[in-house]
Amino acid sequence: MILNGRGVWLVALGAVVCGLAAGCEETNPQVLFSRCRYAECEQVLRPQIPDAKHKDYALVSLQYSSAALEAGDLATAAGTIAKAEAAMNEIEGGGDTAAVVVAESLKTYRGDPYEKGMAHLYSGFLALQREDHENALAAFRRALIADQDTRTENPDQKQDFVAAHYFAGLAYHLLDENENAHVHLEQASRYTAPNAMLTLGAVSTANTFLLITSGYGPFKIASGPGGSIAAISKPPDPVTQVRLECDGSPLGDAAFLDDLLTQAAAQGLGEMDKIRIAKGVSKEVLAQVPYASLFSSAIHAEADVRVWSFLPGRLYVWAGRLEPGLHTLALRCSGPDAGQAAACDQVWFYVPVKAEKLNFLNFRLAPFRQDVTDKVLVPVTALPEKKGK
Amino acid sequence: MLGNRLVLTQGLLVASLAVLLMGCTGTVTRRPVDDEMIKTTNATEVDQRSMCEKMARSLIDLPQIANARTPPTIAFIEMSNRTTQAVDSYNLLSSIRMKLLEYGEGKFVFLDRERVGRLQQERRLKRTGEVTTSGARNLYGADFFLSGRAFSEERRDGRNREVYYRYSFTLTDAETSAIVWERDYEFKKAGTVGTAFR
Repeated sequence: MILNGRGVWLVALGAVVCGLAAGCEETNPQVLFSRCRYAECEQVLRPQIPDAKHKDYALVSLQYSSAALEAGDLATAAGTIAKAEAAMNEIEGGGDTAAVVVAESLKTYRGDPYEKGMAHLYSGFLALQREDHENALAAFRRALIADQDTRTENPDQKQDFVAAHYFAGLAYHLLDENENAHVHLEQASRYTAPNAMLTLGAVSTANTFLLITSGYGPFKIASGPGGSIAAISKPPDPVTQVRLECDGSPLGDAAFLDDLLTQAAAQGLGEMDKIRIAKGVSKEVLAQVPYASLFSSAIHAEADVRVWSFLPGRLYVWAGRLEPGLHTLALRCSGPDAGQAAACDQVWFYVPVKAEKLNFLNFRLAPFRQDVTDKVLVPVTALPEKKGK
Repeated sequence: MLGNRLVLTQGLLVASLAVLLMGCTGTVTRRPVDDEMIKTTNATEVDQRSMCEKMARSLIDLPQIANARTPPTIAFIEMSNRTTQAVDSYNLLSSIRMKLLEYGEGKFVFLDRERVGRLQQERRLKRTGEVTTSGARNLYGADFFLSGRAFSEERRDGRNREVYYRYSFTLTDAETSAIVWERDYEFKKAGTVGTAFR
């Protein structure tokens, strides 16, 4: 068959498109993270971390640390989270005046209470993995203090960060302070469904602790007058229950700890919110007044919608005793839509359980994780060491 | 006349610009150790220095130390962290020990118990003649054990932050287990968060 002139053009066009496509790599970290290409996301984000004085330094660092954590690069995650924590906990500076007078987005990102709480929680979990029990406890206590910043009239919502209570209780137990451990585990049980795993007895006999997360954390939308109200929502999460199996034997369900949307939504109205809403109302009123629309356009009332978007939506924990050695661990997910939940199922081969120490592992549930083939996953820590290095 | 005025105005503008730009450049200065440019509610080396000075004076006044014929030996065995700060416990211990030595006026001696294994190896080499020696002496035993615990509690109310610190120290007789000295050092740090962050 001989191609006519039109056919030649079509073939040439096809070749050009294929060539372009081959050279196009995904570089959007949001897309990479959502497709569970965590290592690539980490690579893309690393050069994007700005100077420590930049207003988004803490935010980009947190995004980077999430990618590093899920990619198994725990040392990088721990170091980056520590720097982000320090930036989030600063008191002075931060573009306070500019944020109040001009636009809130000018302020240095320091996160909402639930974001600070999660940064401290991850910091503590990574410290537990390093067997640094004192600093782990310090981090979990910081997470509980961050929860106290929740601007709500309900005192219960200032102390309902279940995951922080649970792990603080665990850390106290590891430091032989069982009375304090009991207090925190009681608090954890108070704010979630009853579960035998959240008791001192269960914690003291376990040698393996699994932190399981699913879905994605809250996001904000500027709404209301002049966009001054930050409405909070989160993407749908098909998983509401996680059942575990080890080498084909059932281990029971993971205990549900927290829904970050619940944590985020318990915000109340702070001083900055009131200032912003007043500016928003003024902006809209002035826009209706003849000759005053110029003043209206000079008012910036938009809410700051920056969030740590790589956070999970729900947190679970499983604690129990596993025999030392390598195991096949299956996480079976269920929810209101069985099909969508089952898409988040994971099977991990060669999961190491060490004899001489406690084991802390984290798993991120996501539909059809694309860093694996046929849902066969191998934790980075279980990979054989490369020879010759 | 007009030309002179123009030159003067231009010169003033350039000079003002130069002054403004100088304020935008980075600077490096040497500051006194007790001068904190960056304010924080974390416990800092300034707080530790003040605490160690008081602690050393208190230890020197202890009869077991003041009336000793030779400086008593102390093993600083533990410094536990129960604050909400991420702290390297060993660094905290060695930092406090160093400051106590600095303020202790030679009235007590700390033992390097972390290096006992290395010391024993060196002593063996000396005894076997593999290395030179200036004379055999016994390793010092501890007259006292010093242990410490750092604790903090943070309170938040609206924009206000208040952190209470308590450093507790205990000196124990290594022969009898009697607690011969115990002190708490307390201080508070407070701060106010900006409106934009509430």
